[in-house]
Amino acid sequence: CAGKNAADGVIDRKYVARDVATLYTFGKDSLDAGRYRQAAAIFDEVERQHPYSVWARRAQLMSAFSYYTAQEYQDSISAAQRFLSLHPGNKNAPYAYYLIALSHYEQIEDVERDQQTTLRALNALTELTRRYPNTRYASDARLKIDLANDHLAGKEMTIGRFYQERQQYIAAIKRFENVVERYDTTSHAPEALHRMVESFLLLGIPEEARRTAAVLGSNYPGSKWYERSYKLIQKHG
Amino acid sequence: CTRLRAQQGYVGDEELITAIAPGVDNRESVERTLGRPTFVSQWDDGIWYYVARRTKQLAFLESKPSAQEVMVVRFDTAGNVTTVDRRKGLEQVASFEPTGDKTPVFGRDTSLFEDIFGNIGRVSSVPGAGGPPR
Amino acid sequence: QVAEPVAETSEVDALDAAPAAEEERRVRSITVRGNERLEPETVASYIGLSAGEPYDRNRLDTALKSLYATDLFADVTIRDRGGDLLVEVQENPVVNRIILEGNRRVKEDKIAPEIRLAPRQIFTRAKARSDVARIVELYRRQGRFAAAVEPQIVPLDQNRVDVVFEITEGPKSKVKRINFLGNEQFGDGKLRGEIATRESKWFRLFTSNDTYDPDRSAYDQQVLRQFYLTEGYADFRVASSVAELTPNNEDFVLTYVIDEGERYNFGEVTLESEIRDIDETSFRALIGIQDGDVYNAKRIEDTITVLQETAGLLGYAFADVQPQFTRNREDLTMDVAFVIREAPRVYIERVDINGNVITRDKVVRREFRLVEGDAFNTFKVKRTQARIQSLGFFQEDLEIEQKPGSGPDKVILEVNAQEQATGELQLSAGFSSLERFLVSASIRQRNFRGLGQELRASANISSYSKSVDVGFTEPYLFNRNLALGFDVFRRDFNSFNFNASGNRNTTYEQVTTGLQLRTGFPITEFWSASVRYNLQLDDISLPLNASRFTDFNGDGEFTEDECDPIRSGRFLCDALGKRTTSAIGYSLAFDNTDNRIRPSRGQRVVFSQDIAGLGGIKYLRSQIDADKYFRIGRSDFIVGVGLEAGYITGYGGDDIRINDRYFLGEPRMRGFDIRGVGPRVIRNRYIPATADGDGNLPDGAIAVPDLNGSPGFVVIDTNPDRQQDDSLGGQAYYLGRVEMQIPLGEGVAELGIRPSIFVDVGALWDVDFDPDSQLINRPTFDVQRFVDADGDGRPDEDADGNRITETVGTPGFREQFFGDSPKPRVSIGIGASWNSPFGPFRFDIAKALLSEPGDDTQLFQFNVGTSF
Repeated sequence: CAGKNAADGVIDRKYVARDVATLYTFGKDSLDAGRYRQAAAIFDEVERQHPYSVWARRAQLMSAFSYYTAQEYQDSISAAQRFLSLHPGNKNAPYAYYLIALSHYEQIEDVERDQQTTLRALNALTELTRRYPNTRYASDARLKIDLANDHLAGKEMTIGRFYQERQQYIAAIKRFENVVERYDTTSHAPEALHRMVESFLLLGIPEEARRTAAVLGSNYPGSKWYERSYKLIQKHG
Repeated sequence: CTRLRAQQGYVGDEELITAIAPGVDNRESVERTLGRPTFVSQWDDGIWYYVARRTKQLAFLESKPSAQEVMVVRFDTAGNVTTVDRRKGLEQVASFEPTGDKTPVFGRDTSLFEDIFGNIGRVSSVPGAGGPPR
Repeated sequence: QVAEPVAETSEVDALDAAPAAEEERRVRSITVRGNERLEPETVASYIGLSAGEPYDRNRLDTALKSLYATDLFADVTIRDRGGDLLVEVQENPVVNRIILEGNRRVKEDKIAPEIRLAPRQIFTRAKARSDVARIVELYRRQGRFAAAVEPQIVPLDQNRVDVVFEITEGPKSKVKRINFLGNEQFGDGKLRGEIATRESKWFRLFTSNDTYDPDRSAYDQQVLRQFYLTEGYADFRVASSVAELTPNNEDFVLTYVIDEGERYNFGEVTLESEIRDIDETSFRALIGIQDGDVYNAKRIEDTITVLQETAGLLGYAFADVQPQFTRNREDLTMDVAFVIREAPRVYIERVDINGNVITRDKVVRREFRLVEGDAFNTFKVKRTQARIQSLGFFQEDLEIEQKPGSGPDKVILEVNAQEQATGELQLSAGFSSLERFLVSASIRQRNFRGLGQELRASANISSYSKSVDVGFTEPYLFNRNLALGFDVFRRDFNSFNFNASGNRNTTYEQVTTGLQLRTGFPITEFWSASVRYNLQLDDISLPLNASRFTDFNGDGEFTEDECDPIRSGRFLCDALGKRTTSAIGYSLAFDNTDNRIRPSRGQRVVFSQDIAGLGGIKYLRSQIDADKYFRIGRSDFIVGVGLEAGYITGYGGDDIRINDRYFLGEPRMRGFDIRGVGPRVIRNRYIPATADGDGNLPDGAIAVPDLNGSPGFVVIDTNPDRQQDDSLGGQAYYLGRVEMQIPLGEGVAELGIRPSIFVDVGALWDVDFDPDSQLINRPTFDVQRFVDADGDGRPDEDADGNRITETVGTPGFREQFFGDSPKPRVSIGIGASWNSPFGPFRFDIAKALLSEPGDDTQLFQFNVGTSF
């Protein structure tokens, strides 16, 4: 989903030294042939030997892209960051930010593990939408931001269910409240509300359970979660 | 045989709790004497709950509440205490099995083979930690 | 990056010549010249001015400054031709390569990370200067103050440069002498012992502390101050500290001038608490300082920690204990008032677990004794930390950090885990005095699927035993505190003993296949119980041949019940055949050690019983294991005192077979050979006795009617190397151990070597064996032998062709019974365990001080490939 690299569309001026071109095309060919790591190494060489050619600028971007496709996310991030430090004004800058965000995004762990990478992905994605709001990269980034938030909410829910299963309802409620407050637009919100209804009933505070069920009913009337809460309130409320 | 006893939630001082008087105290005075509540109602921040629960658990069986007290302090819009209602005992505690259903989360499922050999020699890539970056 | 000061000669000449009138001037255009690598828009974007904008002198100045701040340009000039700004830039070159020359003492990989310049980076003079300073600092840290670094810039085409750092290291500047002035109470030697810097002496080869390092000497001054404060000199201060270079400016002489001041005692020590439910009397008792003791800053610190921890028990995580000193100069006493500041009771707001890339969150979270919403409690936090460390998945010094929460009464508990490799794929070849040559392959995953489950599969092949073992344990079944585990194993085991000529001979083969099912659950925080079921099928067999069997019933072939006790020993004969053991067992355990893998504090007591009887043989085995660990004072000397005892008894008529009995010796009891302790039968051979020169026989000679066909004399061969020693095992044993680990400098500890000295005390006894009836003492045996009367080397044959045999007597043997006594055997020794790259390695030298006649002692033993 990394999109074709936008640099090909640029008509570049005639360049004197031929060997840079051959080196660059050799890199391009190995990229197309699927030898991504080798392509990345060649693009780095282009930049090192001919730092002032227009090719160098594009080579930096291409090396970042090759590292990304080779799933060498750390190298892709550092290559893209080097491009941005030299050419912040370049019209391909949004693409570089996009590559950095995607590299972080690909390293997201599943919900039962440490979510540092998700937070890093979130920062990179929001940075992209803040700097270049109306590029097509930003629209894809916004979608990924929601998914990342959904993922973070997923982790809170896992921990909440963990506490609930061990009858530690006070701790469980705090985690579900956290989801309702900070991740209320994610897909986990209705379940969080229902879990709060359950936990308040199990904790012996039915009036709070009733209030939460009412909120769940008004926001997600058709959801299966509300049905369950409604039944619980009838029985135990 | 013996049970695992535990104390969950608020630890209160009887003297202080009885000192809270409706109409006299307000949010600051309650917070100073009793401390922050266990829960502030999510939908009406004029209701504070102080919840204390003692549980007992036999080995690997479920832990059961043995004693519980819920104190609800309500404030009016001006922030003064309107009512203080203390509920001891377990009558209002329901008991049922929470639902097993879960909202799905996307994520890679690692193959069994990777589980066995996957993390031999591979350590976390937290900065500062040794081991190869993932 | 350090912002570069604009000290360069930047001429903004055109500006001064502009007319003085400061009327509103607008930028008409901006042209950029001289840029090769950077685009004009990039340069323009740094200026912060665009066409049409008003500008004046200082706007241009800031533009100039910001252009320099980017580090991209060696030189910048801005010319203002009436609104048309001409920006001329000269780009900084790009670094092609970094070369270090002359760095012999400090290697490349130490210097490289310190340097900011790197290939493809932009070169600036400022960066080069700071890199030079950084390299010199590196050498200074190593004590080489005479080191000098010369940066060389090698220009290349396309505005690229190679940067060469020429390093002249110079000699190491040692500390020749350390002098102290003004110290009356303590001698120079004592003070030199306290500080970190050492005088350089020939015998101090490895230390790097004998070089002069300004930071270390500042640290020394602090150490001195702390030392005096613990000796009661509250007014101590270091007046001055001077480091002079010796004339040959290679070495230093350090001189500390100190002012000790008066010695103080503790005056009145009081305690005051602003927190309501901390009652001052009980907390006062915690203060270990009596009025009149010598003033000691360290004890004040310790008291503060004790008070804070005890306050933490009542939920006051952030209790702040402040000592207030009042100094009375006349009677030289110091009054100390410990004040516990007002603090709210603290609740756990969140428990965050970071760094778990493999381990699942719940595997760590379920070890927590505190839950979100609970009141804070130091004991529970410490207990949780011990439990997480005992998982063995993370770094050894893992800590639970307390971070302030969203309110003064909230705390966040944070675990920053660094996961260690928990998988072991061990292919180790080893040599052990137990099983000679040993090849073992085992895969063990202690954190399978990050769920904390343990999966074990191992195969060991040694010249004497082959075994396959598969095991699995789930510590929290269905997320409950219920552990479930099973093991399936098959072991082909060739037993052996030492025969007359001292080498091994295989006496019997044992094939065991079995499975074990075990569950475990906690009862209280420290007490836990477990229930298990083992099913084990044993098949003990002997090669059915003449050397072991005698054809008693004459049916022409050997059967298992025709085992000849004389030839293969009676205990072997009664053990032959197939047996099933089906036993259920339970254990009760108390364990409050601080770390299950390497305990340094606490005790562990396990009492267990196994009842075999549901089909198959019937016995009851009871066992107790108790260990206590403690530290001597504050040092790293960790002492472990252990006691093991076991008793097994048959019931319902069954007696205990040999392989169900206990055996005691190496490796559990050091100083003794394998099965070297306990009841045994020692068999000495008779040998023909010959009269010496003047006709008298060696004493103890016995006349025998038929020795190789004619009467003669035999005598016992008492040479211990040629005697055969069969250990019988016993039904009861005890084994005590006191072992002290000796701390070594961290250099050796890093290799994972842990030496220790130990004393082992133990005994093994009680076997139902009646020496009078079951011992064999036969000077000669009748043996069939072929007759070769005609001396042609071939056995003669009778009329119808089968060979003629005759019975004749050969020397027999005498068995004696030893060692069946509960009297303690004692051994003392020194040993070391080392996690070598190919497996844990244990090596011991132990001398048996006290032993019963018949025990086999062994001074030296080592074992590799078996896990300890």
